[in-house]
Formats: sequence, C-alpha cells, structure tokens
Amino acid sequence: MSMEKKIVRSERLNESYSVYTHSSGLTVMMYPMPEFSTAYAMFGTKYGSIDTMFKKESDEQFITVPEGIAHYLEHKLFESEDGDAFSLFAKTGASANAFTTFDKTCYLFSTTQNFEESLDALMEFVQHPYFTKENVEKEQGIIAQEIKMYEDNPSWRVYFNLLRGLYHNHSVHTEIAGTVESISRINADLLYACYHTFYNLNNMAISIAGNFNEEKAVEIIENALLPCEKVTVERSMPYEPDTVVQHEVRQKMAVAMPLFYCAWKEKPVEEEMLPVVSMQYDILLDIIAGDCSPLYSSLYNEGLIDAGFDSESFMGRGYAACIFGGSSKDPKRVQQLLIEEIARYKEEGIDEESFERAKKSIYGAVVGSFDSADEIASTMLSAYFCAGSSAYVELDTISQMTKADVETLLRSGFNPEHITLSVVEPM
Amino acid sequence: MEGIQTTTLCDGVRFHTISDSRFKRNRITITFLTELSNENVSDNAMLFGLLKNGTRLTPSLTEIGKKLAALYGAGLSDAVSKFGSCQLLSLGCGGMADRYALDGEQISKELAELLCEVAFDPYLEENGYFCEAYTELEKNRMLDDIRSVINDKRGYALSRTSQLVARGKNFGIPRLGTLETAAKITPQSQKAAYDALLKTAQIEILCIGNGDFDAVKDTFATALANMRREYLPVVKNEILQRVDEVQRVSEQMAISQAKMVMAFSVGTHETDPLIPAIRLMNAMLGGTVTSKLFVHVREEKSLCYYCASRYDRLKSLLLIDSGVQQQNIDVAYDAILEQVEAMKQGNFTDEEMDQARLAMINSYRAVSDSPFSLENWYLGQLLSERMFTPAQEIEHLKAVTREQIIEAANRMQLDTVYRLECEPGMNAVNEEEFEEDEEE
Repeated sequence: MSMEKKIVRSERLNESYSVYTHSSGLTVMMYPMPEFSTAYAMFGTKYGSIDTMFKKESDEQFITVPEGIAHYLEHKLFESEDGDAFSLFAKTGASANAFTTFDKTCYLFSTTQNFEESLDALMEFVQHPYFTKENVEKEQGIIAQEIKMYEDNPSWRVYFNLLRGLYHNHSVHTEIAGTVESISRINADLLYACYHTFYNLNNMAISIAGNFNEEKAVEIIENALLPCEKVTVERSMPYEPDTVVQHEVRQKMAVAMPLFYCAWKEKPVEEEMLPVVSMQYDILLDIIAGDCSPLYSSLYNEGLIDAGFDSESFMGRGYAACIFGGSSKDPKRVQQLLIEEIARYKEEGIDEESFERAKKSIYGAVVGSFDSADEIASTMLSAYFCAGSSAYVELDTISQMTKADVETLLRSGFNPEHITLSVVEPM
Repeated sequence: MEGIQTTTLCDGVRFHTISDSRFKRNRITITFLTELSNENVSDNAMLFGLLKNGTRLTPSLTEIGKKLAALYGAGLSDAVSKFGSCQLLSLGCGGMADRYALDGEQISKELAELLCEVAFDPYLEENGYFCEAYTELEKNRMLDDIRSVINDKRGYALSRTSQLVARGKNFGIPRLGTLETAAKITPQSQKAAYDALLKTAQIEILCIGNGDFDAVKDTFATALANMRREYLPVVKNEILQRVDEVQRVSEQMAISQAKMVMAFSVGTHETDPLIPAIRLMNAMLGGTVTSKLFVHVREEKSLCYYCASRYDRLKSLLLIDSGVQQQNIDVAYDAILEQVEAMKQGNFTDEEMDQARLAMINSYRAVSDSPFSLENWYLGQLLSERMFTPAQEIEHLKAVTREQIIEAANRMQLDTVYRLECEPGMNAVNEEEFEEDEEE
C-alpha cells in the first residue's frame, strides 16, 4: 500500500477520522459514520476563481488566464469522449454535483446506495479531461446564460459590487463565472494548461464522510489513481493596497427595498491561521452586531433592518474583510451606526459576558455540524486546504480563546478609512 | 409509523417525537395549519414574527437573543408557507444536543420552555393587545417582504404562475397576502388572529433529535393545559379544475434573462394511486440532471440555464420553469413541449426509467439522515390524508410500470403559460454607470 495513514482525534466529540497520504502527494480523508444512510464524497483541487496567474515550479514564466476559467473547467470536466459524467452517476443512483469558489473547485456525490461504483465514477471523470474546440465553444452558451442569471440576481450583484469596491487588484473582485467577454477568450489549450497545473494530485484532496467501508474506499482510490507528476504550483497575487477602491458603490435594479453590504477591509492572514482567525472574527462580529447585541436591537427597533441582517468574516488567500449586510430603507444610516458602535467597542473594550455568550454560540454551531456527512466532508476539505489544518481545529482552539485575542483583532483592524458600502437600490 | 411517537395533547393538538441518538442537534417546531383566506392571510403570516419580539416573561428581542445564545447559540425562526389550500405557520428552534453541554444544561427542555413562552405567553399591553410600536414595525417589514418578492426572479415567476392558475380561488392567495391585506393589520387584528389560531387551528408539534423529550412533552402539556379549544378541521385541498383554453400571460421587467413557467394540470386527487407514477414521470421529464428537459433543452440545445419540472401533489399541478434568453423563448417553448410529447408517446428507454427511480430512491433513503429533512417529511405526512414512511414510498415507486408512466404523462394538460420578459433596452447591465459612481 502506498498510502500512509494517520488518525485525527477529537476528545471533545470522542470521534476520529483517518488521513491518508499517497505517494503522489494526494491527501485522502475518511470519516465513517456507519449509523447513517448517506455517504458524501468530494474530490477537490485547491484551485478557484482567484487563481488567474500561476506557473508550475518548473516553468519559466507565469501565465495569466481569462477570468472565470476555473468555473468553466468545472463545467467541461463533466464531459468525456463517451458522454457526460452525470450519466455515470445516473447508473448508480447517486446525486452528483460540482462547485467552484474563490479558492477551490470540488466534484462530489451523495448516495445511499452503490457507494463503491459511485466513487469509481468520481475518480474516473475527474482524472479524464476531454476538451475539444467544439465542446468548449458549445459550453459558452450555457455559461453565458448562467452569467446572465446572476446579473439579474440583486443579492449577487450587491456582493460583487462590494468586492469591486474593496479590491484594486486581487482577483477576488472578479465574478467566479467571469463575464460573457472573458469566457469568450477561453479555449481548449488554456483549459488543459489550467488542468495540468492545478489538477495534479499533489494539489488535490479527497474527503469522504458517512456510510461507507473505509478499507474498500482506500482500495478503490489507490487502484483508480493515474500516474501523476508531482507538481508544485506557484501562484502570483498582484500587489493589493490596504485602501479600498471606492467608499460607495451603487447600482439600480428591479428591487423593492435597497440591499446593502458594508465592509471593513482587513489585513490578510497566513493560510494556516485562517480557520482560527476567521472564528475569532466570527465571535467579534457576533458581539458587535449579532442577534443579542445592543446595536442589533436598536437597528431592528428603528425599523432599519429586518431579520435577514447578518455578518460574516470573509477570508481566504490574500484577502480578508468583515462584512455586514441585509436590506434596509437607509443603508447609509446603518453604516453610520456600525461605525459608531465599533469605535465605542475599540474604546471601551468588550464585556466578559458578551464574549462568553458569543463563544458558546459558536461552540454549539460547530458541535452540531458534526452530525451531517456533507458538512463533515466539506469541513475536512476546507480545513485541509488551509495548510493542512484538522477538521477539529475550531473545536480544539475555541476553549482557549480569550477576550484579549478578539480585542487585539478589533483594535488592530476596523480602520474607518477602509470601508466600502455597496447598495443595490430600486429603479 | 416507524420511529415516530405521537400523543394527543388536546383537541387538534398533537405532539410527535423522533428520538435519534445519532444526532448532535435537536429541532422542535410548532406548526399551525389554517385555511387560506383573504381576511386572515396577512395577520396570520405576521404573527410569529411579532411574537418573537418579546414574551410576558422575556419582554425584549435582546433578552430572547441572550437566552438563545446561552443555550449554545440556538436559533429561533418562523416560517410561513402554503400547503394546498392551507396556510402553514411554523415557529421552530434548533439547538445543540444536551450531551455536549459544557455545564450540564438541559438544552432541549430549556428550548421547549422558551418556545412555549414565545408561542403561548406573549407580551401584551395593558389594553390586552400586542404592542403598537412592534406591530407597526413588523407590518412595515412584511410590506417590504411582499414588495421584495420581485427580487428573486425565478421565485417571482413561479409565484405569479400559481396565482394565475388559481383563477381567483383561495389557493392562489400569496403566502403573505397582498399589500392591501397587510396594510390592514393592527394590534387588535393581530390579537384576534392569534386567539382564533390558538382556539381553532390544527397544531402539530414535532420534536426531533437527541434530548430529553419527555421533559419537552411535559413542558408543552403544561403550557397547553388551560387552553380553551374549539378545533375546526380545515378543508386542506382544492384541486385545479381542467380548463379548455390555455391561459397565456406575459409581463415585462428590467431583467437580462427571461423566465417562462408552463403549468400543466394533472387531474389527480390527494390519494390517487397514480401519484407514484406521476412522481417518477416528473423525475424523468425534468427532475434530475439526466432528465429529458436537462439533457435535451439545456445541454444539447444550450437554450436555458435551468429548465426543470416539479410536481405539486396537493394542487395536482406540474410546473416546468426555465430561465431563457429573450430571443430564444419561443424556441424553448416548442422544445419543452416536444419533450412532454415524448413522455406521452412513451418515447423513453428502460434505462431512463430505472435511473430516475434510483435517483428518487436515493433521496427517500436520505430523509432519515437529518432532523431537518425528517421534520419536512413527517410534517408533510401528518398533514396528509395518508401517512407513509420513506421506506413505504420506495416500495410504491418500485411497483410503477412503464404503462403507468405513460398514463401519468397523458394526464398532463397545459393550463397556463407565464412569461416574464425583458424590457426592451434593459438587456444588459450598464458597466459605465457602475464605473462613474466614484466617491468624491
């Protein structure tokens, strides 16, 4: 066996999972849950919409590819010489899908029957690209329709307008699917260049949770792996200043009430710190504007927000921001109150009670997520792509987190000069 | 039914538990079922939202929020939906399983207590009505919600179609009502709606997961002990009648992708033995990524980004909805009808049939894997005339024959075609406009 096995344990949950490392560099994570019916398997590559400038270690020069190409590749990978990968899963009854985010692309299936055949199918199609001039051109129609659909989606628009307001150069400001123009520049050669760079096993991982036989799954994966050159990918991120592009971005659309996001651009953190810092931000945002914060209550009681008001820590390779958003008749006023509240916390500090409450909330949400195969598989994969972190990293660190940790984060960031407000308003 | 334990707490009020040690979280939900009517629709729809603002013992949103956070970030949510000719009002909460509590808290019991407080012991003013300021705020939020239906164009097109097929009958009333019905809400009308629901609505309480459910049951039994009930069972359903002429409606909006919804009446009643065959036929036609609509209309012809069918058993309605470029809308219409005709003619392979069946079996078998999907399933069953487990539905599905699928397809009769078209000149997002919007 060319797979090296390691066990990762959580004392808190009294559970564990296996991590296998293959000689090709591929990592395989397995979390058997025999008492459930579903098995959920993901085959992912650390390659998303932001990876538009890159090279293999052995290449001389970086290449720049059109925006939206990672997503385009995801669509095209479902096609093979004999037809469509969905037809492989149709035979097993599994439900297959794929998605592209800013920093990864994942192919997955969920099934309660014929797991082994389905895993075979997943291994087969992800390792067999088939791009031709004809089939690449044909996809342009479908993806252009998808882009158009997003153009009409006000929640999507207000989000990407925000990112364009925040980021000068980082490609997180471009839409995951690209534009009708950028995808018209995609061809089979470019797709192969991306495939051979990012879909090498050293840049990929498999994550499986639920009802399946671990030994069998390891065997299937080992047998299905094709010889693969061990490639190290180098990515080039353009210089990104701390400042924002615009403080305010507005667009008119067919909506009834203004939708908005208000964000503070923060300093990006190292990959291995992402899960922990992101959780610290979540706690901080919950204290500032969560359901039981004084700010939430006054915004709600003044009729400035509805129950959809929310916040998120938006973090990845080379970018970080704290985002608040929802719908409001007066987004500018909400922004003003947020600014004042953050200034107050910076001055007065955070009270112990709010901190403990927020910590408890996050703990509950994290524990709860470990009873679902799809959430576990997704967590294992995302954590792994953050410099090989464990799926339990949040559970393991939350109890040691102190109020001082989040106060440091608060005081070192939230620069009032680095704010963007994005609004989609009625026509 | 396997796994589900039911107790009647009082007339028309049932308490159900599905206790399952695999789960690390719980869900407890109270659902009221009442008839859809223009008189009460908006008042009913707003109620739980208003109740969440405060109770007699915990009179503010913030205090409720603090209690939830202390229960490991439990969530409290309300939902309004339609079920046939009825309106469903739900108040639910979800939290972490008791065994992971750091200080031995009985999370499930405390959640049930909070839920009972919110639902049955509201904060009222001295005059006996709900707080005027809160009522006004929630009313404005609901008016905004009704206006915001246009934000999601796909959902909007579906909701317009369901209004159109009803042709003025109550089942076409939107789930939140209209701007007119919502504008009439007052603290008095809220109190009247609340009293009426407590007295007459069918109430189902579902408790799923891993907790002390005996304690939860006692909590509900105590909260309901003094309730005066005059339970009025509702007529749950009214089937779409067949019509001779197809209703065609087109509207315009400032969008860049047009939407088209085609509604077919199927002519089945709620317990029709053909229902499993209709479900399978629907999956083959447009319910999966290997269905005829997906493969032939979306993939081969690149006509739509989405083109899918869904079957509404209660309304006996099959809807095909698509997102399509304005200039292709007629071509897409013909292409969709061509696939419907193929099903009617029996132009499908055994493989198509087997694959759709496998995909459906897969989703039935997955129902038991989350408290949320269990709740959805069993609530649907509890409100129906007949109750089936997922395992029983799998048996029904396995028995469906080719002939029954063809018969099911031939029950489809085009009823309404709704098109949401692009306003002329609004076919693209204006990039310049965005760029000019610089901050001074």
